[in-house]
Amino acid sequence: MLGLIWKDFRMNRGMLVLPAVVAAGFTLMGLVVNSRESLVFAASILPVYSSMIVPFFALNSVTLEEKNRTLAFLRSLPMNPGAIVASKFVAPFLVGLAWMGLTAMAVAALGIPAGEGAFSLASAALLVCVTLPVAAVQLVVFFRSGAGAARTALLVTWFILFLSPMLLPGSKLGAMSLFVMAANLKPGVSGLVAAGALVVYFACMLIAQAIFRRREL
Amino acid sequence: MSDSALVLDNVCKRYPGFDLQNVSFELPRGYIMGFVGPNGSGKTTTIRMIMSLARPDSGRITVLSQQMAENEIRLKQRIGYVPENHEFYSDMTVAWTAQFVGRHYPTWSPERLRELLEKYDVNPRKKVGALSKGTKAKLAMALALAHQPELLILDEPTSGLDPIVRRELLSDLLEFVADGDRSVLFSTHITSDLERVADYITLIVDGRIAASDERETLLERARASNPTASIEDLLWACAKGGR
Repeated sequence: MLGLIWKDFRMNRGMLVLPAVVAAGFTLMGLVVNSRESLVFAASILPVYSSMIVPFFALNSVTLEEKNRTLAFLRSLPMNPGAIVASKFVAPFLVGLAWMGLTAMAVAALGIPAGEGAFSLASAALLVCVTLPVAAVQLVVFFRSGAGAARTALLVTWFILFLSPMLLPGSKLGAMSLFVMAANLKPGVSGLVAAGALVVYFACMLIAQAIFRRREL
Repeated sequence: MSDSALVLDNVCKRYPGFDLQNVSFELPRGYIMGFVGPNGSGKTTTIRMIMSLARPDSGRITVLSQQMAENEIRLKQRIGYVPENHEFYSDMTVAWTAQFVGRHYPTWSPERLRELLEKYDVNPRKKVGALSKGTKAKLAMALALAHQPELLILDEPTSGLDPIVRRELLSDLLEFVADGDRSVLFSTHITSDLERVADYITLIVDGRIAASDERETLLERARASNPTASIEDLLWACAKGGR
């Protein structure tokens, strides 16, 4: 499976390089610039990336697989079909972990104080974890119905997860207040959310494996 | 060691609007079998079932004396497969593709691959997406042969290729079975290819096996009524309902 994961990294290297450059850029800015306002502005981009990187890496990876029509090629090789599916789940997860590491470096370099809704490593980790079920659902849909359906699933789950709480009748939640709420969750609650997201993610992997084993190519 | 490289026994598969019914044939070790039929007759479906890319509704598929369904990975390590469409990662180079494929075969020989790529004039540094259809076919063939398989399964390998490349590929098949222990199943609707290389011929029409036997036996039978009958005539007769 390591070969498959490495292949995904190679094929989606553009998606890895861009955030790495952004994170490195912010870190440098933190070291060089002393303007508090510009640092806060720069730091606000980090959560946006954190909430996107896992699902979009997964989507790009499966879209390329479909564009090249290589699922049948992979299935014709002597490898467990479950490993093909697992690699599509594990690679984005590793990218999420790597992004958390980069974020930690950037947060440390920017010197942003914790609390009061400020972006921290904990909130980055939480944001990455919250997006795991979004990626998981789209991957299950991909292995069931293809990349087009996976894109739709991504939009729908994204809407349900991030936008619908703001649109609920009587809701006074805005994007910023949601983010502040997420950033200031108690550690126990954050841990529970992260653990739940991980359970959903890897349960969806098992479902996708079962679907793919039965799927004809 | 069994004498059969491949046995299909009453394999059935139903799709909306198309039935593959009781497909049975046997390919002995050391021979080339041409699997011939008109477009849409079920050749690719049968091959996909042999390669476990589709599941039969019923029947048994025995490859190199083992059930494919129960020994998929080990058997695939002993099979070379060239699909109808050569699906590789278009942004990756030939060398990368070969390295990726080679990791999955314990018998993979980089030296053999290098020889084959040189022979076929495929540049390992080129991106797969930049290769012509014929060169992709040669790459697919080189990848299938580089792990020295016992059974080679080719799905319309010569379709869309120019006559020179076609002849090269066919002569490679003859070379491949020369040691008497390796076998080839190749599907085609180009009957002249069969006349060049096939020892056995299986005719499939509308999802049913119309005939399966040694090439000369089939031709003798056909020539009983038509002294100049060719494989194409045989296929024509089967497609039009005769035997």
